[in-house]
Amino acid sequence: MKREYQFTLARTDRIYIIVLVVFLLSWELIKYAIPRSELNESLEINKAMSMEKEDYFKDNIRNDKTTSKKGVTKKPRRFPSNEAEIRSSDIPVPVNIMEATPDELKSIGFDAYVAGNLKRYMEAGGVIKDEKDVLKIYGMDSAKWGSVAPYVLFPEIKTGTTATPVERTFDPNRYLPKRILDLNTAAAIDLDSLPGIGPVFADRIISLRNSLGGFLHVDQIQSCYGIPSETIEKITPLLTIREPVKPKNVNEIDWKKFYHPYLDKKFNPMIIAYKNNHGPFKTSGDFRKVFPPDTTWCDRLLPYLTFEETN
Amino acid sequence: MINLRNSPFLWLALLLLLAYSVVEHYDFIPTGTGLWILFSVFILCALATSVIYKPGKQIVATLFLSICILLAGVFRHAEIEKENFPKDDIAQGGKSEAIVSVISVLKKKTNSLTLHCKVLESHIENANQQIPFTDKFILVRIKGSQYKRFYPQDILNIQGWLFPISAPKNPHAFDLRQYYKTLGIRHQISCADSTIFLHPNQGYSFMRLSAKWQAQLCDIITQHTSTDVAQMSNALVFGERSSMDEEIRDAFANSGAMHVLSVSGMHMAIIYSMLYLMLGAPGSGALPRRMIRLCFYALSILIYVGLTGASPAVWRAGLMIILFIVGKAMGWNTQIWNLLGFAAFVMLWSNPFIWHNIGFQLSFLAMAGILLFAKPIIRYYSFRQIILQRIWEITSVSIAAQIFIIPIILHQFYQLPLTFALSSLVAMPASYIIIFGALLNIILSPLHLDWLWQWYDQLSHFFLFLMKWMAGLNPDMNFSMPFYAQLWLMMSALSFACGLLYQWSNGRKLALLFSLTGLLTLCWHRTRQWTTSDLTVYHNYSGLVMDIIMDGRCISLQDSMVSDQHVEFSAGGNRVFRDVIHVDPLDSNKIYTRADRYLSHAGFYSSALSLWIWNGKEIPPMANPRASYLLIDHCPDIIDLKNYLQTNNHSVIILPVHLERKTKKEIIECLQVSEIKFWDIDADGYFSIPL
Repeated sequence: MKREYQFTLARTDRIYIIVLVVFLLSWELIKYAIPRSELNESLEINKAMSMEKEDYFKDNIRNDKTTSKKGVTKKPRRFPSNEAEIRSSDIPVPVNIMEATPDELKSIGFDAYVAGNLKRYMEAGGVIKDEKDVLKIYGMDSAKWGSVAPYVLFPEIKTGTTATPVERTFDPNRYLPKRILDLNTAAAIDLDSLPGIGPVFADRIISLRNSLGGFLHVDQIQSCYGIPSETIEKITPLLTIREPVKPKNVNEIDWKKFYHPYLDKKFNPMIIAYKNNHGPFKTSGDFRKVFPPDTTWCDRLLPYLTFEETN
Repeated sequence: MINLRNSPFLWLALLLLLAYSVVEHYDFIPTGTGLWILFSVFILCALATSVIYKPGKQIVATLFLSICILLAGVFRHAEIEKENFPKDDIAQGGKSEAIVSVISVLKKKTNSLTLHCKVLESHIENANQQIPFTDKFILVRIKGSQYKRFYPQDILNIQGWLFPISAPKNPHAFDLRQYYKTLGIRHQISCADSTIFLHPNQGYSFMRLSAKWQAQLCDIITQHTSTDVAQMSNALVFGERSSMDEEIRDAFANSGAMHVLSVSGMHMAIIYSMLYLMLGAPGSGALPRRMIRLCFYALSILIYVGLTGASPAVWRAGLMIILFIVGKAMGWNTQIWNLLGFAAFVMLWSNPFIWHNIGFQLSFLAMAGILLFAKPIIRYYSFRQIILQRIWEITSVSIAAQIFIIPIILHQFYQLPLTFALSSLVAMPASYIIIFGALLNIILSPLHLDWLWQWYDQLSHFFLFLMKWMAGLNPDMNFSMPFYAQLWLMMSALSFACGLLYQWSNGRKLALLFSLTGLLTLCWHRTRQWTTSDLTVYHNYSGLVMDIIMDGRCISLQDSMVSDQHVEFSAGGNRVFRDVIHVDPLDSNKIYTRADRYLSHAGFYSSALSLWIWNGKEIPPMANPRASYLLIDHCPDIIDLKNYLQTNNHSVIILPVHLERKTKKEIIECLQVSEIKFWDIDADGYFSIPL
């Protein structure tokens, strides 16, 4: 009986508790029926709500010389405080990320590691055009970017302006080259003028072209390492193939040393062995027979080869 | 004795807590048919509770009532979850413009401010679309060096970068997401001070008025005292800790008196005692007089709650004291455990996530410890001299408060200041003097009594000096206490409490058994730790950390410039499982062997294994010693890596989290094609190999 007394409640108490809990649960439904305050309504309408920046700071910056409401001037502080340090500290000024020194980058919030990587990237020819380029830098992530974004200016924004970021407008015609480029003959400097392509990518395109022996169609630049798909979409309309590929004679190639991106290394000895056993290749069909299990092994390579007998 | 009859709200609060923890553990959100079924069960149980039961069967009514409360907890949790987080969180960040209302200032530093804000309107720009942001609350981080003040209900227009709060980089790091979830925050927006505009129409509320008043009172103290004293006084008296120096904070934390800086029950008790001296006992006199006195008490306490920022601990104390005073004024029988339970019930109901808040946990557990153990400990010994008796009472209260909170502190902070008894002995009376002195000086400040301020400043400096001295007495220690040892300690405290409350003879024996088990677990863990030698690689928020542990002693290397405190904060759980004897930045010019007991940027070599770090600049040696483990710290050109791996395909590759996703994907594809073993730290949170 005593134990039951300790672990039970009177019926009245039980009912009170249930009523309280039901009321608390119901309150969530009731409160939605209460009309919203005027302040909230005015906010929905008035979106262009800004005070002048100077007025805002005047009202909010703490000032030793302000008088109290009763007109009594407050005494100056007796003890030094750290406010002098606060006021004397440098105000971060937005910097042009392409022109900033590592110290300037650090001053706006980049850590030393990322600042160093940024400078090395730009010294190597990299170009930072927007947030996505910044996020590609090693050591950078969206959380860190969030803390420095307000102080970063990209190359198209003029420096020396006030801290208020200028709304950026993208001019699609700004970077358009004056002519359509032939992918097989364009120099690095020509490729550099394409939107989204800098010296590094231009060099990569050229080295791919040299290793392939020329591009057969514009889509082949997709296999170039590191070029984002958005950039490829942008530059594809600006490229063409005019100069045809000069195919190599399959029977004159030194297969021991031959390298091609479309040829797996394991086929080189097979080609040599086939040639030694069957003589020179006369047609593409002969070439396919090097690897009978899969005759499509050389489909991509064949446009770069001719089958002429050597004298 | 605690039972359901005299402390029903304690039992309600515990049921709510159980409901919330189960819902969160199983991630259960009732919707659709499930919701209607639960609601029907709730109605049936509520009806069953109100039935008259015969003696001997009334326990059934308790059971039905318990089910009702549990279900109410489930509904409440679902409601708040839906209200705060209507949609899934954003996967990636984006530019955002938002109109927010300030709720409180969380942190204030020289060049930055962190605000807890309510979102009134917000959207994110994503792929040239504007997607509305639907969360109720958001964290606003403002970068700027101009000193600004924001008050509750300030309405701001912000333009910045919105992104989710980062997950911890390793399994033992402090999870900021969990902490901010108690405030209803999942995302943050970073902006510069120049992109913020203040709405001219501000609301009026009690919190806004009290915040403005707090700022004015803190200004008065700051104007008349030195910087250190001003920071300490503002924290101690008004709970204004956002601009406190870390040196002062560490002095209190390391000496074991951090609870003095957090406004909580102790401060409320001091305010109550001051009011008691001025107004008299709340229950004395005729009814009209008692009512007037009650109004003064309640108003003063409410104002103080508002002045100090209304943290969970302050709310708990304020609610308890107000209810206690109401009971006394009305002549009711006030059960202290019921008051504690009521405060917990109210706080848990209003915010179902508050139980994760460490301040909430410590506040209630400390109060429970004091209520249970303070008097028995005081009665255990008595002194004839009144001063010694008072000292013993203060020490007993301090010890009683620590009994339940020691396991929590060890679990959260991995530290136990040994001087907590001594520091509490000094801090508690000193706090009384400082609070009283500060309030007196503020009241008398119109009279310009500078000498009073000078006395106050000198006294506070002496108190600070004592705290710093006591902090220095404690060795720099992190206790690597495994989970089971913490559990045994808590079970020991609970058993002892049950034995004391219910006069259960086996309770004390069980408490002793649990304590011994905890001690043995700790000893076994330390012994095992001292025989451990391994190499562990994990991340903190800024970069990679590499710990070489040899016979339990650890040399820690970091690849980014971070302060020790930052590393401790972001990798605390990992660091406490080793005694760190040396911290070094990774140096590209050094090469060490195991005999030198250091690791370098180039690599680490022992007779059993070698770990080399690939940074794209220096290629690890191809000859002896060969790399048995290769950590890809940086991969500027994957072709170089592929060329290296063609001749060193026996290495196990370690992939850190900070590798760019596209590069990492290409490396993984290459490793899979070549059938080379690799370890992705992102998957497990860390990499560890025995030495």
